[in-house]
Amino acid sequence: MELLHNLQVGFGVALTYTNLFYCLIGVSLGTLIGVLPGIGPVATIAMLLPATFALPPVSALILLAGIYYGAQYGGSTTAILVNLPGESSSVVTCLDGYQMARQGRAGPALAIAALGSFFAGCVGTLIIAGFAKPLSDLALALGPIEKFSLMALGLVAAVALAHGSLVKAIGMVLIGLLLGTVGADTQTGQMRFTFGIPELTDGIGFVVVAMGIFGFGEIIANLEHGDQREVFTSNVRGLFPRGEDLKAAWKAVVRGTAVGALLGILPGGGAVLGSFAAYTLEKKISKHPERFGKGAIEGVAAPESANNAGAQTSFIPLLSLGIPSNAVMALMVGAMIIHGITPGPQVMTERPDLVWGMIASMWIGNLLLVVLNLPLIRIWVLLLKLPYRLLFPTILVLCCVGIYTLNNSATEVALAALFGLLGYVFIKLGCEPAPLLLAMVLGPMMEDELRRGMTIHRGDATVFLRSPFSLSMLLLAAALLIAIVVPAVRRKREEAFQEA
Amino acid sequence: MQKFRPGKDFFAGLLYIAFGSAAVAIGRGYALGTAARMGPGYFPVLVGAVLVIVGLVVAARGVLAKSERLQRLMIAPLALVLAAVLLFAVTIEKLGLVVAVLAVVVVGYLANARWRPLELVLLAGLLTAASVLIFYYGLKLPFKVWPGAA
Repeated sequence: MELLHNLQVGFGVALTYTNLFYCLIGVSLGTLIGVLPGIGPVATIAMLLPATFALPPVSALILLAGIYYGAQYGGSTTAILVNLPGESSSVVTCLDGYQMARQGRAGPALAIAALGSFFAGCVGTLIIAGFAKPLSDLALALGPIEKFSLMALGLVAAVALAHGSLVKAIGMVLIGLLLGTVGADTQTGQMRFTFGIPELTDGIGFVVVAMGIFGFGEIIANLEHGDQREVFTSNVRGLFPRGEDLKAAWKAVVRGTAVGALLGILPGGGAVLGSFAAYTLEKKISKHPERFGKGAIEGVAAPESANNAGAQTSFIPLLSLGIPSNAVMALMVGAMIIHGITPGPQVMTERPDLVWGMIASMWIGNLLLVVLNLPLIRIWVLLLKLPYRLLFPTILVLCCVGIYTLNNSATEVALAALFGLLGYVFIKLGCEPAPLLLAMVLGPMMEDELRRGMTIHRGDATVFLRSPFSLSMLLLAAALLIAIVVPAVRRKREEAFQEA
Repeated sequence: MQKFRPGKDFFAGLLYIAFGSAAVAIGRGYALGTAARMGPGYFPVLVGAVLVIVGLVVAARGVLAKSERLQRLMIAPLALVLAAVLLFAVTIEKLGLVVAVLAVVVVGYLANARWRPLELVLLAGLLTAASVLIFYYGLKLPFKVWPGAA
């Protein structure tokens, strides 16, 4: 009954004209950047943060959340029509989606992607509504030691799920932790790594880092590759899937949703991993695995459902524990802080309108996305014809203005250029930057909990193993690391990423 | 004996070692404290030290095992994009939004391989007008718009 009451509160908030409007803006922008390759949700959310200053917090969060899950819908359009992932979570959709488009079946592929995403989005929203409250009650009972171990597990998971080399990902996490220590020490006020730059007193803004690495760094890398696209626009006829398509696809949608939702909740998870796992699962259990890669509709339905389910459920750790599980959620933490909300389990009880308003808006947003994506597909397709050489100067301007308006600081713009250089170097060296951003946001919280916990327990580190909750988190983290190092699992993991 | 040709892993390792040792070197200047009373230097030095070790492992693997070769770096896009952003940082406060946006668009545009003068003029005009309209008049952000004016 409490759940019903909460949902009622939520819909009351989400259904006001203002919030409906911002939800629509959010999912439209999300679809837009999802369709456009070369710009992802991390850079977009970072760019738009300053523009949300004037909004009430609920509207701001509704808008920003819409960008993230909207991008999952848009990403599939590009994957199917251009064989380029609009988003990293649509990488596997390219395999069968593009083949379907080449066979003249782009319409059904797009339709099943949108309908599958809608189903997954609805289920995901329900899961958030059901789990957020109990988890936040649990989180309120945790002490500093337990919280530290929980966050450590999150970082280990982020490492485990990153592409490429495990050790290199660990290095990125450590660099992120170090970047998080920049600024005045919270306990003593001692300046750390500020090099006399006053703007660094409050730490390096994560928006600066996110835009530098994910915005500028990726633009530079994209410019090196040049612009090659082949768009199958003329083929978007007859949107509606045939009966046999639906019959083949609905089970894949359900399985994809389950896999995606589960992997989305995990710390370090999110939309990307679920889509890979769901595709692999479908191929494994299919009676005709040879059809995959040649235009199997299950190969579109499963990953597209999974990435949307994952995008939804990755909000659970953020809303219930205040702990971000991936780079996008790390930005959401920043958004909450900017709007004067300290993320954590207490938000659930102190600001129920905010949490439940956001949850309700997600369901509405998913409904809007189906409308946006099916009948309006031709408009998005038109945007695909916009060449990158016109697009990237626009992104540059938005990034520069965005960073500047954050604190009216030109120094931060220059700092972002520095991180752009660093981001480019990371891309060149094959170092995945997402774990860095997550570690940078978690770092200060972890250091805080560690110092508080150690003071309480008089510097006795064995307390991490004596607290049952902390012990199980650490064991889980260790198991995850060992599992990846074991050759058999390692090969599987590489295979899964390879298939893209 | 084959000649050692450093790849991605080797350089990534070096980068980690550089970051880690810098953190240790600078962090040692802050009070370390004890485990029970950690000072501001404790956490950064600890993390920096582990990063050095990780960097050594990555670099060593880069030497022992074959790692992917580094692709050729293209200096032009890198330099022009960064220059565009830095120009914005330098001009925004003294010369205002119009000049800063023009600088970003013009310098940034040159970073792509194909230049079309007419396209650049149109794009620069459009983006500058849109920025002023959206950010100054629309969102009412406190920008200085033109050079000279207060």
